[in-house]
Amino acid sequence: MESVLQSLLEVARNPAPAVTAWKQGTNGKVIGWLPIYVPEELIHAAGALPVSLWGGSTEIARADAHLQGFACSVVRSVLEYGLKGTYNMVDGFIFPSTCDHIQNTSDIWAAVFPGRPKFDLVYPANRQSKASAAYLERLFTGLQEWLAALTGSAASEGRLRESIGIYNHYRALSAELAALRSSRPECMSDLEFSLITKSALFLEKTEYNRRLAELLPWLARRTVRPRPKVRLVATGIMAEPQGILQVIDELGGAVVADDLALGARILRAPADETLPPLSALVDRHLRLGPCSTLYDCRKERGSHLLGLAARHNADGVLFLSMKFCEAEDFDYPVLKAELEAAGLPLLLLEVEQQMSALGQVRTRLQAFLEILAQGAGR
Amino acid sequence: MREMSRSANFLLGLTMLYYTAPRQADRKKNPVAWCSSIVPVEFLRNMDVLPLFPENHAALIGARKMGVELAEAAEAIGYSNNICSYARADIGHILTGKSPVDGLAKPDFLVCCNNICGTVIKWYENLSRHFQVPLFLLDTPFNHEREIPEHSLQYVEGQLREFIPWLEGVTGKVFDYDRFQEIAIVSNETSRLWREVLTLAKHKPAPFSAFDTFNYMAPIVTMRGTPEAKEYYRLLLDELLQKVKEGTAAVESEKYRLLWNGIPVWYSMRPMLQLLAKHRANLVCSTYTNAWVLEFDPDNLLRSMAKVYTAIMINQSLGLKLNRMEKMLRDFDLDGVIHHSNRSCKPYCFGLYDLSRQLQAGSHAVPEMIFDGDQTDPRHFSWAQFETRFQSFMETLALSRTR
Ligand code: SF4
Ligand code: SF4
Repeated sequence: MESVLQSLLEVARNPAPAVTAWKQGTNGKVIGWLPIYVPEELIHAAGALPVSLWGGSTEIARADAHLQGFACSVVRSVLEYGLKGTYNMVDGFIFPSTCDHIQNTSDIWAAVFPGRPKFDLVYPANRQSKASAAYLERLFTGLQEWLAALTGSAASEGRLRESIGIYNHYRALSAELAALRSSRPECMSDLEFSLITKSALFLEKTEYNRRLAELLPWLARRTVRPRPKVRLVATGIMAEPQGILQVIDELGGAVVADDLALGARILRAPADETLPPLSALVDRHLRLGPCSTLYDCRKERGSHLLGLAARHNADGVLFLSMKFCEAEDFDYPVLKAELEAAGLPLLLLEVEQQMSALGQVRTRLQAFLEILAQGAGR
Repeated sequence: MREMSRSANFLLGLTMLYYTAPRQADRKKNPVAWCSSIVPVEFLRNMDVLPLFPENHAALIGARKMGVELAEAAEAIGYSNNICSYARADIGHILTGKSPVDGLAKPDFLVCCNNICGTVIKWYENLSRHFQVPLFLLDTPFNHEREIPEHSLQYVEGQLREFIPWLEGVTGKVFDYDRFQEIAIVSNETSRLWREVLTLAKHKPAPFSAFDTFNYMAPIVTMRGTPEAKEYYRLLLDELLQKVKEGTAAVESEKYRLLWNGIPVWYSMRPMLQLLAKHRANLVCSTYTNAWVLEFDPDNLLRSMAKVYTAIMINQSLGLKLNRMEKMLRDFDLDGVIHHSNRSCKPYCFGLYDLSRQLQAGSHAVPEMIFDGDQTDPRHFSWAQFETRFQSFMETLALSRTR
């Protein structure tokens, strides 16, 4: 079983071999998509492999000629990987309208790679409007048509239904994994949890589901670390650079629940299988949230975090703020006030994927965890 | 001191009215709404709502050099220094009460349209939370294509239809469709006058500079749809036509005619103006002031409003931005472009480098300069860098002249 775990960790650390192997084995198309929300079911049903591109720790060199240094590290590194040829096995790209950074990088992408197929998933930001469902349905139909042209075959309704089932299963298994780290954090490190979650972004989901289902009962009995002294909720775009998770681990803390985009946010809201398949995906998108990138004038993220902390018996919240991400930056002061008023400690850590020195992060985490450990009385 | 022109006097009065009327208003009759910079104000005027524009106010904060102080007040409660400085200045003014004009009267509700950026959505979420007032979001999907897709237009039009009952709910008034039509026509005519004003810069020498238009623009932003704003542009147009007739030049012996691409550097207008004049260069026009030329089809109002409010330049693809820029270069017979790589305004400047590359590869290649700045926060602007780049830009321009 250890080997199944290692295989997933390896995929997350170095996805290219797994993606290339899938492509050679199936002769299928690989569709890369940028964060945060893309209905992968449509890609899966078209017989293509969806892979999710959230950037990485690459040094930025070529991308600087196209994008200013005050763009977030996700779009800068995605562009860098594109220019370096890392995505050469990717046949088509989907750019959702997540934020100004991605939206404008999409146009830069078109200028830099004029021949490469690209689809702009411009979501309705006003999901309260009655007009948004029809718009979204048209948008997803357009995506289906684009995929059909790229793969050479249109996905039937039956196939889409199947894919939706597979993805709901994926979400259910992911929820089990998440429940496990809360009930028995000693069974895997934070880094392992994060890498398992990330490996799903590059694997065909039937395959991923099979491996994860095998792994879960084994993980449940496994012990790799002592019971954590401090239990944390992590919120933000992603827990990267991953060294941060190791630092938390070393300091005797554990992330027992998260509200990360590359984490719980994309795994929320199963699709309603009683609806016609396309409507089910429309309906799911309309229900997603809370998320800093989905318009919400009630700002429910605060109460969501308070709820998470209470349910998972957490001692504090870690706000992993991706540098230059306005969506997250605007939420922070509101959350800070709300969590302070509720007496839930919050630590802000500004992160960039390219960050290599974690000395400062360690010092701040150490101080935070020490305070929490006293309060936790463990 | 030079005597103030009639239009300048009128503008002063309008500005006073714009800021004071909301403060004194009976909110039952005249509710106050805070709005992002390009919302369909015609709907609001029709309900006798008094709109206020935090971005416009923030520009004034920048011009009066209060940007740093107010931004820091916002940063002190956790706002990142990396977010748009308009938002920080506005939030700082809410927290401290400080402002060059006694501040903005508190809103009864908010209207936000993301045709300029996604930042305003986050900013207005927070305003709604802070003031505990309702917020209407008009979502105008970004257009990556050559034409705005039909389903986008239907969606925007659908939201405009929903805006009406929403407004009726928050104001307790009934929406009068006939009056709406009349207001839209006034708004249209004001836009037309504004376009005519901007077009006068085609004359050689240009009778004014883009720096002047940054002052002229206040009413088209804040009072569009009122007879007063229309009257102002009528007056202004007359005066400027007179200047053209007399051959008055904004810059003595105008030699270089330049395009400004970006939001002004509000706190540094005077030194820039002086530097340019020294080189006999005039900023003849800007992509910025053109954003408020909004002309509707009165016979198909909601539909054409949906289109016009979506088709804001920074809400569209790089290709369309380039087309627009090349057209201005041609129409105004321009010699070069100054691009503001603005740390605050991501949608205005991400893509600038490739836009510039495409411009150079196209049929309208002219010398360009790009400088790093920020519209309200001088901590992200270096005069030394601006000056150095401007010098070498002038050298390139001089060379291109002799060729
Ligand atoms: S980190 Fe923030 S700014 Fe960057 S792509 Fe994600 S949502 Fe956009
Ligand atoms: S980001 Fe740009 S468009 Fe948006 S409010 Fe700031 S300056 Fe205006």
